[in-house]
Amino acid sequence: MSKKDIFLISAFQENSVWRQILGICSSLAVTNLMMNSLIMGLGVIFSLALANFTISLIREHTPRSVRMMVQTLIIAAYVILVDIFLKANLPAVSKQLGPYVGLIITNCILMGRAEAFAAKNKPLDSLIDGIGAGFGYTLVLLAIATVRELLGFGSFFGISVFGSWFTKWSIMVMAPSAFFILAMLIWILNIKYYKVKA
Amino acid sequence: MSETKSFRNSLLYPIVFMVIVSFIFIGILSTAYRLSESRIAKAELESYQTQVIMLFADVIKQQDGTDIAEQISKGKLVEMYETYINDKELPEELSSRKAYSLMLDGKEHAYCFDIMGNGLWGSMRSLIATDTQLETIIGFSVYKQMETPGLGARIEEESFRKQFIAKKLKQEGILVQFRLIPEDQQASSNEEVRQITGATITSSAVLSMISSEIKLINDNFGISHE
Repeated sequence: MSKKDIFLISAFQENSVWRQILGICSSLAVTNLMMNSLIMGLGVIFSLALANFTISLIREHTPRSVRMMVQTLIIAAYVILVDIFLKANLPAVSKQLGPYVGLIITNCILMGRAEAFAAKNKPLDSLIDGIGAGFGYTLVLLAIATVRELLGFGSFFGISVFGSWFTKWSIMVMAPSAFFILAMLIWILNIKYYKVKA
Repeated sequence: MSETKSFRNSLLYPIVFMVIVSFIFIGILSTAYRLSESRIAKAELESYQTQVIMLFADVIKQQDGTDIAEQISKGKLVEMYETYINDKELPEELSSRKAYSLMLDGKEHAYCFDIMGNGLWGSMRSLIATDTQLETIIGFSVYKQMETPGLGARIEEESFRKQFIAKKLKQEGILVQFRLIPEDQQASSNEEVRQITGATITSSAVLSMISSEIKLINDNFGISHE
Protein backbone atom coordinates (compact mmCIF):
# COMPACT_ATOMS: atom_id res chain seq x y z
CA MET A 1 0.00 0.00 0.00
CA SER A 2 1.45 3.39 -0.95
CA LYS A 3 1.86 6.20 1.58
CA LYS A 4 -0.83 8.18 -0.22
CA ASP A 5 -3.29 5.30 0.04
CA ILE A 6 -2.63 4.95 3.77
CA PHE A 7 -3.45 8.62 4.24
CA LEU A 8 -6.56 8.57 2.04
CA ILE A 9 -7.95 5.43 3.61
CA SER A 10 -7.55 6.57 7.20
CA ALA A 11 -8.72 10.12 6.47
CA PHE A 12 -11.68 9.43 4.20
CA GLN A 13 -12.65 5.86 3.28
CA GLU A 14 -12.27 4.54 6.81
CA ASN A 15 -12.75 7.89 8.56
CA SER A 16 -12.74 7.41 12.33
CA VAL A 17 -15.81 9.56 12.97
CA TRP A 18 -18.27 8.96 10.17
CA ARG A 19 -17.21 5.40 9.35
CA GLN A 20 -16.14 3.96 12.69
CA ILE A 21 -18.20 6.28 14.92
CA LEU A 22 -15.26 6.96 17.25
CA GLY A 23 -14.41 10.20 19.02
CA ILE A 24 -18.04 11.30 19.13
CA CYS A 25 -17.84 12.80 22.62
CA SER A 26 -15.37 15.49 21.67
CA SER A 27 -17.08 16.07 18.31
CA LEU A 28 -20.11 17.15 20.30
CA ALA A 29 -18.28 19.07 22.99
CA VAL A 30 -15.84 21.39 21.26
CA THR A 31 -17.56 22.20 17.97
CA ASN A 32 -19.40 25.38 18.95
CA LEU A 33 -16.61 27.59 17.59
CA MET A 34 -14.36 27.09 14.55
CA MET A 35 -11.25 28.18 16.45
CA ASN A 36 -11.79 25.63 19.25
CA SER A 37 -12.39 22.88 16.70
CA LEU A 38 -9.30 23.74 14.71
CA ILE A 39 -7.04 23.76 17.76
CA MET A 40 -8.59 20.58 19.11
CA GLY A 41 -8.06 18.98 15.67
CA LEU A 42 -4.44 20.07 15.53
CA GLY A 43 -3.92 18.71 19.05
CA VAL A 44 -5.33 15.36 18.00
CA ILE A 45 -3.28 15.24 14.77
CA PHE A 46 -0.10 15.99 16.71
CA SER A 47 -0.61 13.50 19.52
CA LEU A 48 -2.11 10.81 17.29
CA ALA A 49 0.67 10.95 14.70
CA LEU A 50 3.49 10.98 17.21
CA ALA A 51 1.89 8.37 19.47
CA ASN A 52 1.40 6.11 16.45
CA PHE A 53 5.00 6.66 15.40
CA THR A 54 6.41 5.90 18.84
CA ILE A 55 4.20 2.89 19.45
CA SER A 56 5.21 1.46 16.09
CA LEU A 57 8.88 2.17 16.78
CA ILE A 58 8.94 0.02 19.90
CA ARG A 59 6.32 -2.50 18.77
CA GLU A 60 8.77 -5.38 18.41
CA HIS A 61 10.12 -4.90 21.92
CA THR A 62 6.76 -4.33 23.61
CA PRO A 63 5.62 -7.38 25.57
CA ARG A 64 2.05 -8.29 24.60
CA SER A 65 0.91 -8.42 28.20
CA VAL A 66 1.60 -4.74 28.87
CA ARG A 67 1.13 -3.30 25.38
CA MET A 68 -2.06 -1.42 26.20
CA MET A 69 -0.50 0.16 29.26
CA VAL A 70 2.44 1.25 27.14
CA GLN A 71 0.15 2.65 24.45
CA THR A 72 -1.90 4.62 26.98
CA LEU A 73 1.24 5.96 28.60
CA ILE A 74 2.65 7.15 25.29
CA ILE A 75 -0.64 8.71 24.19
CA ALA A 76 -1.02 10.44 27.56
CA ALA A 77 2.50 11.84 27.38
CA TYR A 78 1.93 13.49 24.00
CA VAL A 79 -1.46 14.84 25.02
CA ILE A 80 0.00 16.40 28.16
CA LEU A 81 2.68 17.99 25.98
CA VAL A 82 -0.11 19.60 23.92
CA ASP A 83 -1.81 20.73 27.13
CA ILE A 84 1.38 22.30 28.49
CA PHE A 85 1.99 24.02 25.16
CA LEU A 86 -1.51 25.51 25.08
CA LYS A 87 -1.34 26.65 28.72
CA ALA A 88 1.97 28.39 28.12
CA ASN A 89 1.29 29.94 24.73
CA LEU A 90 -2.47 30.16 24.20
CA PRO A 91 -3.95 30.51 27.71
CA ALA A 92 -7.29 31.85 26.45
CA VAL A 93 -7.83 28.88 24.15
CA SER A 94 -6.61 26.50 26.82
CA LYS A 95 -9.20 27.86 29.25
CA GLN A 96 -11.98 27.57 26.68
CA LEU A 97 -11.14 24.01 25.73
CA GLY A 98 -10.92 23.29 29.45
CA PRO A 99 -10.79 19.61 30.28
CA TYR A 100 -11.27 18.48 26.68
CA VAL A 101 -7.58 18.66 25.77
CA GLY A 102 -6.72 16.28 28.59
CA LEU A 103 -9.59 14.08 27.46
CA ILE A 104 -7.87 13.47 24.10
CA ILE A 105 -6.15 10.68 26.07
CA THR A 106 -9.43 8.82 26.28
CA ASN A 107 -10.41 9.60 22.69
CA CYS A 108 -11.13 6.20 21.17
CA ILE A 109 -9.54 7.22 17.88
CA LEU A 110 -6.06 7.27 19.42
CA MET A 111 -6.30 3.89 21.09
CA GLY A 112 -8.08 2.53 18.01
CA ARG A 113 -5.33 3.56 15.61
CA ALA A 114 -2.62 2.38 18.01
CA GLU A 115 -4.13 -1.11 18.24
CA ALA A 116 -5.38 -1.43 14.67
CA PHE A 117 -2.45 0.11 12.84
CA ALA A 118 0.62 1.22 14.77
CA ALA A 119 1.05 -2.07 16.63
CA LYS A 120 1.40 -3.96 13.33
CA ASN A 121 2.98 -1.53 10.85
CA LYS A 122 6.21 0.36 10.19
CA PRO A 123 6.86 3.67 12.02
CA LEU A 124 6.61 5.93 8.96
CA ASP A 125 3.40 4.28 7.75
CA SER A 126 1.97 4.65 11.25
CA LEU A 127 2.88 8.31 11.33
CA ILE A 128 1.05 8.86 8.06
CA ASP A 129 -1.91 6.83 9.26
CA GLY A 130 -2.04 9.00 12.39
CA ILE A 131 -1.93 12.22 10.41
CA GLY A 132 -4.64 10.87 8.12
CA ALA A 133 -6.97 9.79 10.92
CA GLY A 134 -6.39 13.08 12.75
CA PHE A 135 -7.05 15.01 9.56
CA GLY A 136 -10.29 13.13 8.99
CA TYR A 137 -11.36 13.89 12.56
CA THR A 138 -10.49 17.58 12.21
CA LEU A 139 -12.47 17.73 8.99
CA VAL A 140 -15.60 16.48 10.77
CA LEU A 141 -15.10 18.91 13.67
CA LEU A 142 -14.74 21.83 11.28
CA ALA A 143 -17.78 20.77 9.26
CA ILE A 144 -19.95 20.63 12.38
CA ALA A 145 -18.45 23.85 13.75
CA THR A 146 -19.16 25.72 10.50
CA VAL A 147 -22.89 25.08 10.88
CA ARG A 148 -22.90 25.68 14.62
CA GLU A 149 -20.90 28.89 14.62
CA LEU A 150 -22.76 30.35 11.62
CA LEU A 151 -26.20 29.70 13.06
CA GLY A 152 -25.33 29.97 16.76
CA PHE A 153 -23.16 33.08 16.71
CA GLY A 154 -23.69 34.43 13.17
CA SER A 155 -19.94 34.38 12.64
CA PHE A 156 -17.15 32.36 11.00
CA PHE A 157 -13.80 32.06 12.84
CA GLY A 158 -15.03 34.93 15.03
CA ILE A 159 -15.66 37.24 12.08
CA SER A 160 -19.25 38.40 11.95
CA VAL A 161 -20.93 37.13 8.78
CA PHE A 162 -24.56 38.00 9.28
CA GLY A 163 -25.41 41.49 10.45
CA SER A 164 -27.24 42.45 13.61
CA TRP A 165 -30.60 41.45 12.08
CA PHE A 166 -29.69 37.79 12.50
CA THR A 167 -31.45 35.92 15.30
CA LYS A 168 -28.94 33.57 16.89
CA TRP A 169 -30.06 29.96 17.32
CA SER A 170 -29.22 29.24 20.91
CA ILE A 171 -29.68 25.48 20.38
CA MET A 172 -26.63 25.61 18.08
CA VAL A 173 -24.45 26.90 20.90
CA MET A 174 -25.40 23.93 23.06
CA ALA A 175 -24.00 20.43 22.61
CA PRO A 176 -27.25 18.67 21.52
CA SER A 177 -27.23 20.49 18.17
CA ALA A 178 -24.03 18.65 17.26
CA PHE A 179 -25.94 15.38 17.63
CA PHE A 180 -28.29 16.36 14.83
CA ILE A 181 -25.62 17.81 12.57
CA LEU A 182 -23.33 14.80 13.02
CA ALA A 183 -26.21 12.41 12.38
CA MET A 184 -27.15 14.24 9.19
CA LEU A 185 -23.53 14.27 8.06
CA ILE A 186 -23.22 10.51 8.56
CA TRP A 187 -26.56 9.96 6.85
CA ILE A 188 -25.61 11.96 3.76
CA LEU A 189 -22.18 10.31 3.48
CA ASN A 190 -23.64 6.85 3.90
CA ILE A 191 -26.17 7.37 1.14
CA LYS A 192 -23.88 9.17 -1.27
CA TYR A 193 -20.56 7.41 -0.90
CA TYR A 194 -21.13 4.12 0.82
CA LYS A 195 -24.46 3.42 -0.94
CA VAL A 196 -26.04 2.23 2.28
CA LYS A 197 -29.70 1.47 1.87
CA ALA A 198 -32.22 2.04 4.61
CA MET B 1 21.45 -14.72 22.35
CA SER B 2 19.56 -17.47 24.07
CA GLU B 3 20.00 -15.59 27.32
CA THR B 4 18.30 -12.47 25.94
CA LYS B 5 15.60 -14.69 24.49
CA SER B 6 14.88 -16.23 27.84
CA PHE B 7 14.92 -12.83 29.52
CA ARG B 8 12.29 -11.60 27.04
CA ASN B 9 10.10 -14.52 28.00
CA SER B 10 10.58 -14.06 31.70
CA LEU B 11 8.04 -12.46 34.00
CA LEU B 12 10.46 -9.70 34.78
CA TYR B 13 10.73 -8.38 31.23
CA PRO B 14 7.31 -6.63 31.01
CA ILE B 15 7.97 -4.97 34.37
CA VAL B 16 11.44 -3.75 33.40
CA PHE B 17 10.10 -2.59 30.03
CA MET B 18 7.24 -0.67 31.63
CA VAL B 19 9.53 0.99 34.16
CA ILE B 20 11.96 2.12 31.45
CA VAL B 21 9.21 3.48 29.20
CA SER B 22 7.62 5.29 32.16
CA PHE B 23 10.93 6.84 33.12
CA ILE B 24 11.60 8.11 29.62
CA PHE B 25 8.20 9.71 29.20
CA ILE B 26 8.02 11.17 32.68
CA GLY B 27 11.45 12.65 31.98
CA ILE B 28 10.23 14.24 28.76
CA LEU B 29 7.11 15.61 30.44
CA SER B 30 8.83 17.06 33.46
CA THR B 31 11.43 18.74 31.26
CA ALA B 32 8.69 20.23 29.09
CA TYR B 33 6.79 21.40 32.15
CA ARG B 34 9.85 22.93 33.82
CA LEU B 35 10.69 24.79 30.61
CA SER B 36 7.26 26.38 30.33
CA GLU B 37 6.48 26.71 34.04
CA SER B 38 7.30 30.40 34.23
CA ARG B 39 5.23 31.22 31.16
CA ILE B 40 2.25 29.32 32.55
CA ALA B 41 2.57 31.15 35.87
CA LYS B 42 2.82 34.49 34.05
CA ALA B 43 -0.28 33.74 31.96
CA GLU B 44 -2.20 32.76 35.08
CA LEU B 45 -1.14 35.89 36.94
CA GLU B 46 -2.14 38.07 33.98
CA SER B 47 -5.54 36.45 33.74
CA TYR B 48 -6.04 36.88 37.51
CA GLN B 49 -5.01 40.53 37.50
CA THR B 50 -7.25 41.19 34.51
CA GLN B 51 -10.20 39.74 36.40
CA VAL B 52 -9.46 41.82 39.50
CA ILE B 53 -9.16 45.10 37.65
CA MET B 54 -12.07 44.38 35.30
CA LEU B 55 -14.40 44.15 38.31
CA PHE B 56 -13.68 47.84 38.85
CA ALA B 57 -13.79 48.81 35.16
CA ASP B 58 -17.14 50.59 35.39
CA VAL B 59 -16.17 52.51 38.55
CA ILE B 60 -12.85 53.61 37.09
CA LYS B 61 -14.55 54.74 33.88
CA GLN B 62 -17.07 56.80 35.84
CA GLN B 63 -14.41 58.39 38.02
CA ASP B 64 -11.65 59.31 35.61
CA GLY B 65 -12.78 58.15 32.19
CA THR B 66 -10.08 55.50 31.67
CA ASP B 67 -11.27 52.55 29.58
CA ILE B 68 -9.58 49.62 31.32
CA ALA B 69 -10.55 47.01 28.71
CA GLU B 70 -9.05 49.16 25.97
CA GLN B 71 -5.84 49.73 27.95
CA ILE B 72 -5.48 46.00 28.61
CA SER B 73 -5.91 45.23 24.92
CA LYS B 74 -3.05 47.68 24.30
CA GLY B 75 -0.89 45.56 26.61
CA LYS B 76 -0.92 47.99 29.54
CA LEU B 77 -2.25 45.54 32.13
CA VAL B 78 0.73 45.80 34.51
CA GLU B 79 0.72 49.59 34.34
CA MET B 80 -3.03 49.80 34.97
CA TYR B 81 -2.87 47.26 37.77
CA GLU B 82 -0.08 49.14 39.53
CA THR B 83 -1.91 52.46 39.17
CA TYR B 84 -5.24 51.37 40.53
CA ILE B 85 -4.87 48.25 42.65
CA ASN B 86 -3.21 47.93 46.05
CA ASP B 87 -2.74 44.76 48.05
CA LYS B 88 -4.43 44.85 51.44
CA GLU B 89 -3.36 43.13 54.62
CA LEU B 90 -5.83 40.69 56.10
CA PRO B 91 -6.16 39.57 59.73
CA GLU B 92 -5.28 36.00 60.67
CA GLU B 93 -8.92 34.86 60.67
CA LEU B 94 -9.01 35.51 56.93
CA SER B 95 -5.80 33.71 56.06
CA SER B 96 -5.56 32.07 52.61
CA ARG B 97 -7.89 34.74 51.27
CA LYS B 98 -6.69 37.92 49.65
CA ALA B 99 -7.91 41.47 49.47
CA TYR B 100 -7.21 44.37 47.17
CA SER B 101 -8.27 47.98 47.24
CA LEU B 102 -9.10 50.24 44.34
CA MET B 103 -7.10 53.47 44.64
CA LEU B 104 -8.47 56.64 43.08
CA ASP B 105 -6.81 60.00 43.81
CA GLY B 106 -4.76 58.39 46.55
CA LYS B 107 -7.84 57.18 48.43
CA GLU B 108 -9.34 53.74 48.85
CA HIS B 109 -12.46 53.71 46.76
CA ALA B 110 -13.56 50.07 46.87
CA TYR B 111 -12.39 46.60 47.89
CA CYS B 112 -12.02 43.32 46.11
CA PHE B 113 -11.94 40.08 48.11
CA ASP B 114 -10.61 36.77 46.89
CA ILE B 115 -12.99 34.32 48.53
CA MET B 116 -13.49 30.56 48.51
CA GLY B 117 -16.25 28.02 48.82
CA ASN B 118 -17.24 24.48 47.94
CA GLY B 119 -19.06 23.67 44.73
CA LEU B 120 -20.57 20.41 43.56
CA TRP B 121 -17.33 18.69 42.47
CA GLY B 122 -14.67 20.66 44.26
CA SER B 123 -13.65 23.92 45.77
CA MET B 124 -14.10 27.19 43.94
CA ARG B 125 -12.43 30.56 44.18
CA SER B 126 -13.98 33.81 43.24
CA LEU B 127 -13.57 37.55 43.41
CA ILE B 128 -16.14 39.87 44.89
CA ALA B 129 -15.78 43.64 44.73
CA THR B 130 -17.64 45.84 47.20
CA ASP B 131 -17.69 49.44 48.33
CA THR B 132 -15.55 50.32 51.35
CA GLN B 133 -18.54 49.97 53.70
CA LEU B 134 -19.13 46.41 52.49
CA GLU B 135 -22.69 47.41 51.62
CA THR B 136 -23.01 47.05 47.85
CA ILE B 137 -21.55 44.55 45.39
CA ILE B 138 -19.61 46.23 42.59
CA GLY B 139 -18.60 43.12 40.73
CA PHE B 140 -18.42 39.35 41.02
CA SER B 141 -16.50 36.70 39.13
CA VAL B 142 -15.45 33.09 39.55
CA TYR B 143 -11.89 32.33 38.55
CA LYS B 144 -11.43 28.75 39.61
CA GLN B 145 -14.09 26.05 39.69
CA MET B 146 -14.56 22.39 38.82
CA GLU B 147 -18.30 22.43 38.14
CA THR B 148 -20.04 20.49 35.35
CA PRO B 149 -19.07 22.00 31.98
CA GLY B 150 -22.12 23.53 30.30
CA LEU B 151 -24.18 23.49 33.50
CA GLY B 152 -22.60 24.54 36.78
CA ALA B 153 -19.58 25.97 34.98
CA ARG B 154 -21.89 28.66 33.62
CA ILE B 155 -21.42 30.55 36.92
CA GLU B 156 -18.42 32.03 35.10
CA GLU B 157 -20.67 33.53 32.44
CA GLU B 158 -21.62 37.16 32.35
CA SER B 159 -25.37 36.55 32.49
CA PHE B 160 -24.98 34.90 35.87
CA ARG B 161 -22.32 37.03 37.50
CA LYS B 162 -23.51 40.45 36.26
CA GLN B 163 -26.77 40.09 38.17
CA PHE B 164 -24.88 40.57 41.43
CA ILE B 165 -23.80 44.08 40.49
CA ALA B 166 -25.46 46.78 42.65
CA LYS B 167 -27.03 44.22 44.98
CA LYS B 168 -27.01 45.27 48.63
CA LEU B 169 -25.00 43.06 50.99
CA LYS B 170 -26.32 44.82 54.07
CA GLN B 171 -29.66 46.37 54.72
CA GLU B 172 -29.96 48.49 57.86
CA GLY B 173 -26.75 46.96 59.10
CA ILE B 174 -27.95 43.37 58.76
CA LEU B 175 -26.36 41.01 56.23
CA VAL B 176 -28.72 40.09 53.41
CA GLN B 177 -29.49 36.40 52.75
CA PHE B 178 -29.82 35.84 49.01
CA ARG B 179 -32.17 33.21 47.59
CA LEU B 180 -32.60 31.55 44.19
CA ILE B 181 -35.38 32.07 41.68
CA PRO B 182 -35.85 30.20 38.35
CA GLU B 183 -33.54 31.26 35.54
CA ASP B 184 -36.23 32.71 33.28
CA GLN B 185 -37.74 34.98 35.94
CA GLN B 186 -36.73 38.53 36.63
CA ALA B 187 -35.45 39.38 40.08
CA SER B 188 -38.06 41.57 41.73
CA SER B 189 -36.17 42.28 44.94
CA ASN B 190 -32.62 42.66 46.20
CA GLU B 191 -32.46 39.14 47.66
CA GLU B 192 -33.44 37.28 44.50
CA VAL B 193 -30.76 35.72 42.33
CA ARG B 194 -31.55 33.90 39.09
CA GLN B 195 -30.20 30.36 39.35
CA ILE B 196 -28.76 28.26 36.55
CA THR B 197 -31.20 25.66 35.29
CA GLY B 198 -29.81 22.17 35.84
CA ALA B 199 -27.22 23.40 38.31
CA THR B 200 -29.17 24.03 41.49
CA ILE B 201 -26.43 22.74 43.77
CA THR B 202 -23.77 24.92 42.15
CA SER B 203 -26.06 27.97 42.20
CA SER B 204 -26.81 27.60 45.89
CA ALA B 205 -23.13 26.86 46.56
CA VAL B 206 -22.31 30.29 45.11
CA LEU B 207 -24.87 31.95 47.36
CA SER B 208 -23.68 30.17 50.49
CA MET B 209 -20.08 31.02 49.60
CA ILE B 210 -20.97 34.68 49.30
CA SER B 211 -22.97 34.81 52.51
CA SER B 212 -20.50 32.90 54.68
CA GLU B 213 -17.45 34.71 53.32
CA ILE B 214 -19.03 38.15 53.54
CA LYS B 215 -20.03 37.39 57.13
CA LEU B 216 -16.45 36.36 57.92
CA ILE B 217 -15.04 39.47 56.28
CA ASN B 218 -17.61 41.69 57.95
CA ASP B 219 -16.73 40.26 61.36
CA ASN B 220 -12.96 40.33 61.00
CA PHE B 221 -11.97 42.93 58.46
CA GLY B 222 -11.71 46.44 59.80
CA ILE B 223 -14.42 48.23 57.86
CA SER B 224 -14.10 51.91 58.53
CA HIS B 225 -17.40 53.39 59.57
CA GLU B 226 -16.83 57.00 58.80
